[in-house]
Amino acid sequence: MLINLQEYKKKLNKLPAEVKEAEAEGRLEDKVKVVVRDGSIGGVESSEVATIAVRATGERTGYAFTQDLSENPMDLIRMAYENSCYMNGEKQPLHSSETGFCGAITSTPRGTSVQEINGDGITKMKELAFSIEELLHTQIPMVSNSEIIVEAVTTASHVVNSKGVDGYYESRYYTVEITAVATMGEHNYNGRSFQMVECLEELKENTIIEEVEQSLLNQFNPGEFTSGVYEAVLDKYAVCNMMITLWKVFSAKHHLEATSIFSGAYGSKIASETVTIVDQAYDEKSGYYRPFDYEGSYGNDVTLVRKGQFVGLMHNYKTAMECNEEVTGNAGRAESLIAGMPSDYTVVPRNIRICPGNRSVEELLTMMGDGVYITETYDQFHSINQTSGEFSIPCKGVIIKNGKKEMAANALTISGNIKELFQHIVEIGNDLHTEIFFTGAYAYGSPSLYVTDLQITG
Amino acid sequence: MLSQLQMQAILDMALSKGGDFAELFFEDTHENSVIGKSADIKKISSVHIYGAGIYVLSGTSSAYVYTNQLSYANLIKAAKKAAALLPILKKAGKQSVQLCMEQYPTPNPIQMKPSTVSMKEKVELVKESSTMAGGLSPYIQSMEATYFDKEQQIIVVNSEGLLTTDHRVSSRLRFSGVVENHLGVDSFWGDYTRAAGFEAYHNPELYRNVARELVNSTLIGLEGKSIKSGVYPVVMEAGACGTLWHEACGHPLESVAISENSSEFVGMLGKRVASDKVTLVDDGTIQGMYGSAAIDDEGAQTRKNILIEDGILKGYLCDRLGGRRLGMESTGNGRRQSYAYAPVARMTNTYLAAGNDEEDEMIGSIDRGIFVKSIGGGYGGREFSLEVQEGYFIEHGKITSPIKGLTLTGKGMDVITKIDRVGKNLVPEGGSFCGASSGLCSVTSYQPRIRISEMQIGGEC
Repeated sequence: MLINLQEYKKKLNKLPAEVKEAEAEGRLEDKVKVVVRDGSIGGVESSEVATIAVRATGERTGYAFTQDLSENPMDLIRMAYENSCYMNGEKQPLHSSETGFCGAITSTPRGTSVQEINGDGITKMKELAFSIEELLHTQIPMVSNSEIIVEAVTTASHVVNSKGVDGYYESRYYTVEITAVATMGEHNYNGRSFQMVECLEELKENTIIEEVEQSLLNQFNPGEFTSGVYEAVLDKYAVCNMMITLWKVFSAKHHLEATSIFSGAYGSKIASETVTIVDQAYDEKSGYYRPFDYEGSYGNDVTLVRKGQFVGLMHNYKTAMECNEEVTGNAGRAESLIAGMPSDYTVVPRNIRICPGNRSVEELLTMMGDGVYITETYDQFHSINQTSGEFSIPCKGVIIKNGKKEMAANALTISGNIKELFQHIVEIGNDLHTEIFFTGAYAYGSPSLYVTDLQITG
Repeated sequence: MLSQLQMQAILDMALSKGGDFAELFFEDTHENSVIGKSADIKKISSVHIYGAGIYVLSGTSSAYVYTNQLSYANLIKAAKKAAALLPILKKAGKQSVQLCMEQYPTPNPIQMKPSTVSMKEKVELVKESSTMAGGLSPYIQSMEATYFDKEQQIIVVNSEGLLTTDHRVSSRLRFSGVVENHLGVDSFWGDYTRAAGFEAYHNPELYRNVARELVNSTLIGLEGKSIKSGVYPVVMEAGACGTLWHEACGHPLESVAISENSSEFVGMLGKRVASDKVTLVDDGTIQGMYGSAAIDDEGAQTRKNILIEDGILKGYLCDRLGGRRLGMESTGNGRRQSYAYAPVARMTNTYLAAGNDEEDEMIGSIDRGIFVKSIGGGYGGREFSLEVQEGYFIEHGKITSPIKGLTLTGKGMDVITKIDRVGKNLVPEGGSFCGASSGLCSVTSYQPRIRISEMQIGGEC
């Protein structure tokens, strides 16, 4: 895969006098998606999209982005520079060849390299989707409708700047998602499961189908629920959903802007000792890999919480300098869902997760005894306030008695404050699950958690 | 730009392996954003989205290939790929017919295209609005204003001979920040949105009101008390509380949800699904609205679709493929965020028609209930949820103190059968974004004031 930045490199070496420094990042994203629906191919998608992102600095730093590859590089640099002329504040730092990444990476740390997905590759993806669908309907006969999506996402990124940075990498991951509708009793229920892997051969078909089956059975025949404060096991899928907003409390950007509930708590104990949270440049299980970020910062692994202690932040180059800390390689452009092309130079994770423990979810339920098993959470974008820490999250669950599932409960809400929730985590499961953000900007994960003192209403 | 003959050749290539329909969607979009905090302009960026998608259908199967390499040679290659991706391989499919230009009038004529306005003027707007908003309360710890503009040019060409274009402009000013007082701290954000050019900012009072409401609502939220669990009547204010209809009905009535049997409205056409006070409409033709356009993203003219009439389910929202899966025609709702998505049936401007009930009586006749003044966002599916941004207790017929941490959840049909009051005054809203499988689309969701006779509310025990 190639993004041709040769013209940009030439222009970056011959900037007009008023442009002190500049940078161009070319990103090529290649996707193949196969959809199998109710026994036949519902759809196939294939794409190849290249985007060039430029920032140029005179006294300040301005930005311009294009997908029109015929645009003159100098015109784009000039547009970014002209934008900078209206700005105040400091300029954004650029790496030099000593501090930023220089080199080319064409395989993952364990040696997987990216080959083009051609006809054979697409056939393999189709065969996998059909195989999963057949297994799904055999193991769960009450499924009336199903959709299996197998997707391959290949990314190549090339960063060059006027100070000598020249870095390139390629990576790929696969995702498989099942959504199923089952008729049980007089009602229909929706179930979902998801897996993310570096190589298709590593996909665990039985696991992904068992998870759909459980997600359906956990909803069957819901009964009345009495609101109260409970002990709860939060399923890995439920916590993963929360992570889409929760990760922001460890962003240096939010920390510096005082828009994180943990602003001012750096170095303090913010969670129980069972909790360790990390962000890594590479996860061999999910395949998500970012050896360097949009600015050419090396992708260093960072421990954010170690045994309950808040010990690290995710940085871009600017926030690292402001906090006088090491860069971590977390410069990104898509913190949240936005319309249009992501263009905000911000901080995003790479592979952020709550580290798994040693207990299976069954063991967590047994430890809990009586309580609620929260199986699904919704509305991840509006239900958690990362500044106040308040959350009010719609969800579904199962009432647990003596460690066993007793009855489903729908239309629940869990509420409270993140500060207290973190302190009330008693035990961590061994069932780490990973998902990919909608835009592909980062991966996030969590195992199941056993918590106490959780307000649950229904 | 490609010639018509070249476009037809691309369509024929896409149909060469047995497809029965092919479409080209070209997009050329320019966006600008300016972020400021009082007199400081923190960031300015300019974005150019540029690409095309080739869509081929064979019955209810589809192939979609998209790229931003738009030479004729590359697009022929992409069309060949799309044809090969279709599951059915025949010797040759249909051929395209001669293209004929159709042009429809836009419901959103523009006076001042953002591309004709200098960056200096946009910067001045951000400085003025962020300084103004920052001065609205002494409890504001930080306040940012972000200006966004978008000019999108699309061309849609298909094998049925359609050639059409649309030029869409939108403007948005976002206020975001943090408030803090002795009761606590909270962050907020909200948008002033218009399907208009820079003329959207000629009356500053309009966006000042948005900032004022946002700050006040957030401060009031800090005073809120929790509610006890129970069954309550709920009055929802006129205007943007119409998000209820978007989440509780709109998404479940889109053809994807119906064809995948993941909606409670499956099989309910012609049957009662709501109280007889409910008439729900989705209309992409309304002048000046954020969800309006001349055509949808498949080139079909937008239209007014009555979804529910006097409580009876009348129709679903369909794109071309979704309609095929249901044995129905497109309703002009095939939409997408950009060329990087295949079109899918999505809402446009979704509203509850005005009724005949007196608004004050809705509250006056309640002994103990909830008044929802504004909604932050929500989620829709087989069940829906809504984040209440500003909610109050109703006690003995009066709105009293604020409620904190209120989320409304329920099943769509359960709730809309319990609408027992619909006010006379339909109030539109500025608009926002809806996220689904074809990306983020601009929509509005609005209503008159309504009352739901009872809702199960989760709260303290």
